[in-house]
Amino acid sequence: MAKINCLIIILLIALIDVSLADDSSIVVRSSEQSGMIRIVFETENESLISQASVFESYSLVKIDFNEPFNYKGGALLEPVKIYKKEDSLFMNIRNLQKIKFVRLSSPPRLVIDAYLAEQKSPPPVNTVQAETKELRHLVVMFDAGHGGADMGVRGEQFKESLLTLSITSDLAKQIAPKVQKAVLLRKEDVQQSIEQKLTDVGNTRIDAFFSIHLTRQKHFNIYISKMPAYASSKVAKYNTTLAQSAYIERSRALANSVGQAITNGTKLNVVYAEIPLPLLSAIKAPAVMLELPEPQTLSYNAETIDTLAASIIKALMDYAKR
Amino acid sequence: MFIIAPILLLCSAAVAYYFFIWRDDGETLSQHIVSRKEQEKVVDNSTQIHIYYPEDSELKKITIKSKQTFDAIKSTEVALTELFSGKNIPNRSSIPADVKLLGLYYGVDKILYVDVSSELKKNFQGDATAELMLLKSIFETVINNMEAEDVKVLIDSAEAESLGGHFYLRYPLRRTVTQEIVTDGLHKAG
Ligand SMILES: [Zn+2]
Repeated sequence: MAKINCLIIILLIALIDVSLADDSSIVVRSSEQSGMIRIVFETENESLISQASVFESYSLVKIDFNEPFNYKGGALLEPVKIYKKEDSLFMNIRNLQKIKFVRLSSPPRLVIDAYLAEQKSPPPVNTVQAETKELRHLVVMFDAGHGGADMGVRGEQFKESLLTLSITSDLAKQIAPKVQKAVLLRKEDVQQSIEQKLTDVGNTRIDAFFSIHLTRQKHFNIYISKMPAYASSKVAKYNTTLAQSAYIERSRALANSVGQAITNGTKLNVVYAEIPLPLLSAIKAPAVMLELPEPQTLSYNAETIDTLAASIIKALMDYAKR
Repeated sequence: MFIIAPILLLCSAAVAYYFFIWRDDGETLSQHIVSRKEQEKVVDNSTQIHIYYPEDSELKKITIKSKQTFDAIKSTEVALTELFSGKNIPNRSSIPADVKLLGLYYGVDKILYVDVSSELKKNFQGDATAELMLLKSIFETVINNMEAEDVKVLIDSAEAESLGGHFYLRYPLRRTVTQEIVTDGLHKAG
């Protein structure tokens, strides 16, 4: 009898344990109504919802639960992606315009309504299409700086690795219709070593490469790679880490064009520099690194993305004409 | 044949002992840095220690006095500890917090291996220029206090690919940090 009692107690403890563990679980579901996606985070734990704070920056929404939780995932619609990092969930929503959120009880849940921007009607056909005709043969690659545990510049409400991911994916979408192909080097929030990135770049024929990062400065930084004095086009043929030597003049022209267009479009200053960046040094195409000012200086709304995309297209057209 | 192996082993152990002297002679670093009051007393038999530190996109220098030592590695250790602790550095906002110097190893190839705690990587939050300046400050601090051909940074005694995601730590620093940076000023908008 004592044995059975013991067993029951152990079973009870185990059950309580399981229910306690489940208490901090969060599941998510989403549904679509005209122009709006409703995302619901549900849990048994009241305090998780009451303490949660929600921040929004461009297409990224950060939900800080302020205590550890167990994210169980759930059904998500295609434009929504969710990443867990420490006590927060980062939600990336394509074409996000604004959000509204509300906390509800029984069961405790956080409801976020994400309103999406209307898809823009295509620009007047004859002018733009004629102008961008030269770009039809170009393959353009975008690299979202950092990723995974390497988060880059961090602010209260943003992480460089996640913001660059959403910016590059939007830029690629805007530029894709004008070029042969717009490729993303990093599509997820994963850490890729510089060497891994170089291997991936090496597997694709590209005509232009843009690495997108953030800076704490209040201006844009535009870098091309500084090549060592001994690196000539000949050396570049044998030493793949210096392959950029053969393209450095074209990279410089591309950097200047992008910079000018960005200055005109955003009214922010641009600093150009040549520094020995190992990623750019090994790329066999014109290659530029853009460091964008952090979100306190420039808000990354749809208008800013349009300006950046237009600047890149303008620079590519200058380049294609050469 | 059986005798050669142990002798070889002994020889290599002796060589290893000779070169792998991780700095430890019972004296703590804080003891080694002379406090300001004491400075005047030891003016004549003190060593000058040069520290290069990053401030925004520039490299700045301070010189402090330390107890006289004829051991250049000891001076370098004091200098790097100062760089990371930043006690005498006027503006230490570009230096990651809580970094500890774990050890220095001077290789036969005249490369100084600088072993630092993982806070150097974890607490670094800068852009590409800030990363380059931080690497440059470590390099310049070393080569201005001792004769070293190159500097290689280890994180928690292990090889790391990068400090901030823009430059390699995989190779010694000279070829990255000694290339002249070409900056084309601020292009004003409007
Ligand atoms: Zn970066």
